[in-house]
Amino acid sequence: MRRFLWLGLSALSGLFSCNYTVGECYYRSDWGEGTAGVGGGVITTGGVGASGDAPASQPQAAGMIPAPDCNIAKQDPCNEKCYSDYEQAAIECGKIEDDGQRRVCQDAAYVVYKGCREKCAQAIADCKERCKKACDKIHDICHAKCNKNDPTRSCHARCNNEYAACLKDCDQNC
Amino acid sequence: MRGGIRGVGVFLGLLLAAGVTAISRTAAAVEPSFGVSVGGLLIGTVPHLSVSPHGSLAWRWESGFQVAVHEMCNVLIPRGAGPGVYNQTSGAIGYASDKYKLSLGPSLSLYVIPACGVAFCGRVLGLAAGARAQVDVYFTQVFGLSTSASVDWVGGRSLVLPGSAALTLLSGPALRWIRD
Repeated sequence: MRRFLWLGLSALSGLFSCNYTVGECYYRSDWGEGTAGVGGGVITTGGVGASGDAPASQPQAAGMIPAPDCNIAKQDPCNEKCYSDYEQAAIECGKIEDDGQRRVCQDAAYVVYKGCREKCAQAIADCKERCKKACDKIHDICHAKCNKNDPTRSCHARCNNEYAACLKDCDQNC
Repeated sequence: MRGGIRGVGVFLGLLLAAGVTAISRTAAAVEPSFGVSVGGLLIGTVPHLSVSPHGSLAWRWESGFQVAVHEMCNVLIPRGAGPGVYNQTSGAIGYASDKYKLSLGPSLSLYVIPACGVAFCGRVLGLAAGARAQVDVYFTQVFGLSTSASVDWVGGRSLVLPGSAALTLLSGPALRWIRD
């Protein structure tokens, strides 16, 4: 009974909890240093309804350290891994006391993060390319079978429907 | 998200109004109370000092059983990153006597606060759900000391606070009126 109560409370908490970063976010090491705007480290919010115009994943000005969007959109596992590695690196960099070295560390962490995301994007593109080629092959075989065994309009229509479903699967699974 | 917050607000408002109407017909005594507490709010990884005016409306039966609604507005004292507000609405059941009041129940909080997670900081707007407990000790018929604690789950799209707990611990003077 008590377990169900806890499960219910957790589910309710999860259901009602939501949040959003308003405006800028910055590295924790910059907390209390006048915060946003002083000496860089500022990340402008991107995404729907946000105030920032520049994509947060790009450097915004000289001397400013870029970082991911201040609000997280649901990501694929590959990009999730990039982000969690980056967050870990940012925590480690935050422990460095020297300002200059900390910035160098944060810059390096961002470069690694950016590279990781590019690899993910490439892997996704490769996966889609391979998947679509496989769909093309299946589609060709299907039409060839129709021509040979059942040269009706419905047979070809079925092949086209299966092809559309195959392409949709590629987009969902890659 | 604003639409969602408004929807939840309307739903809670209707629920509250229905509850107030139903309870006020059967309860033996209505007991409004008000106060200002001071204490701490830990949200994410940075603690805040808070000044929190609060009010509650309780319906007490002769057995001591009570049902209450609380409203608490935690105003966070600026500490390098600007001010913030963590407003908490809660419903509670509990026990009340002439000297003590004890209540426990679910809470829903709306907040705009400067906060830090493990790696990033920023201003976060959101809604959090959790639980809240309050103990009031009265030295006279009217005057007493109110102490409350709460735990809320804070999570969402914010990179700053994608998932963490908000803890509050507050204490301060309180005044009550007992109406039979």
